[in-house]
Amino acid sequence: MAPEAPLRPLLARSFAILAAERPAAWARLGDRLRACPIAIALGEAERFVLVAGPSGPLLADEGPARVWVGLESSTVRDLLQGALRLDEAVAADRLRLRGQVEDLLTALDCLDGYVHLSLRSAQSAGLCGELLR
Amino acid sequence: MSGRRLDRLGGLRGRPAAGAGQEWLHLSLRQGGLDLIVNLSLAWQAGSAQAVDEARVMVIAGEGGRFVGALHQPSAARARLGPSAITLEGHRLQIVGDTLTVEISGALPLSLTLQATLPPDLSHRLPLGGGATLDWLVLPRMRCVEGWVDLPDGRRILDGAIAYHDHNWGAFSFGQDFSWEWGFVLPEEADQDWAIVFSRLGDRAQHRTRSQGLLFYQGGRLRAAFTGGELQIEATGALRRAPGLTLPPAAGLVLPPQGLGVPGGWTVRARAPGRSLSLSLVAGSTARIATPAGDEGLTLVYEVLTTAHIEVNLHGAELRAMGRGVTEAVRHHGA
Repeated sequence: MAPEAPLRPLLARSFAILAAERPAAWARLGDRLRACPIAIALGEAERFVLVAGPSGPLLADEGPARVWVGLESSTVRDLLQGALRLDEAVAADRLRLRGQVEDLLTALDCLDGYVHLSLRSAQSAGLCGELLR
Repeated sequence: MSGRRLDRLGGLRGRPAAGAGQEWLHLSLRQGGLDLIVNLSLAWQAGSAQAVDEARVMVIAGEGGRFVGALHQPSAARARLGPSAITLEGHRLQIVGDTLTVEISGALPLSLTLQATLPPDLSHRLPLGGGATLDWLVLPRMRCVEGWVDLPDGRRILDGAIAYHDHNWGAFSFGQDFSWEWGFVLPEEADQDWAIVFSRLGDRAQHRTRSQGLLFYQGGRLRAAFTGGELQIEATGALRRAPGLTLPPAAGLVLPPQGLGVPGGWTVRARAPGRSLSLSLVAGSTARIATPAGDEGLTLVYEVLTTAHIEVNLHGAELRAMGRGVTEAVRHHGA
């Protein structure tokens, strides 16, 4: 079986597309993230932190976080394909979360904003297709 | 054949004279236990000079209570739009006389050649509120002369399938103050030749109906039309089961799992001097399509597979029959 494509480069391209296409909304999403950096562990292979940059969200190698999210790449694929809902992923322990409830809700709010922006971008839809191929 | 020509009204419309606009062609086919929905849609933004600003091609197949779907977003910059054909990268739709051909490539590829078996009906300038309007050219019964679709578990041949088709265009954007419900019903038995289509357009909150109508066809012609106060369309119950498919699937991350205010069925009663019709629809499996509305919200289009019971009385001639169809309900999520 071919190794799965790493998520981080695709996410970085998606961030660049959204920053260019919708700079104002992208900056607002960064503001939401400012008080709540999110550390993501994708299996054992990929670890990074979502932080607020000067013009929107950025991917950092490391840094302090208020929310920790752990999942496998297969869970990402199932979520994006609609085969699994977020609540189901948490209940099935396929999405592991840690943080204060207020921060977890902020992280969910950031995810909501990111998905809404991505749904408005044909280029982002292409990246999603690339990940799922 | 001339009465059934699909291109008599000038074929495809293209960019509206001013402002934002939408145009889409919708097909729904049934063959045995398979329901297939195909939609090609184009959108124009105000002030843009491109031939097409956004293009989407959607295929949904429902069989045995399960759905599969594909949403293609071909390059709008490379779209070619003529009076009788749309080419969107590997996808093509053409209207010639009474024949509609569709070819879709990529996920869930298909090829369809459909012929009109009824004359089309146009509802002109249906009000969507705030001056926005929708034109709706409807052809509730077509025959698939030749066709196939490739599903994940194999090819389905669609020769002889019955189909519904409509072509819509208007100067409006999703997210404005409107909602709609429309549906068609075709007979359960292949040897029956009736068809029903109905629609109701209202405000976004569904507090007010702006326009409604129902058409009943039989014997290859329109037998009865009901509009306005001749018609009562009531939603019944609530759809409890989650949609079997969300397109694009990632939209499911921000949507509640259940249908947003989608009823469990509809009852339609129509009465005018010398004619009456009663239609009872029960909702079955449902797919939903999320379309960005403005900068933040989503317009959700629910495609609800229905089973139907109809009773018609036209000047003493009665028909009682079972049918199947699709009812589409538009709802809004977020801002």
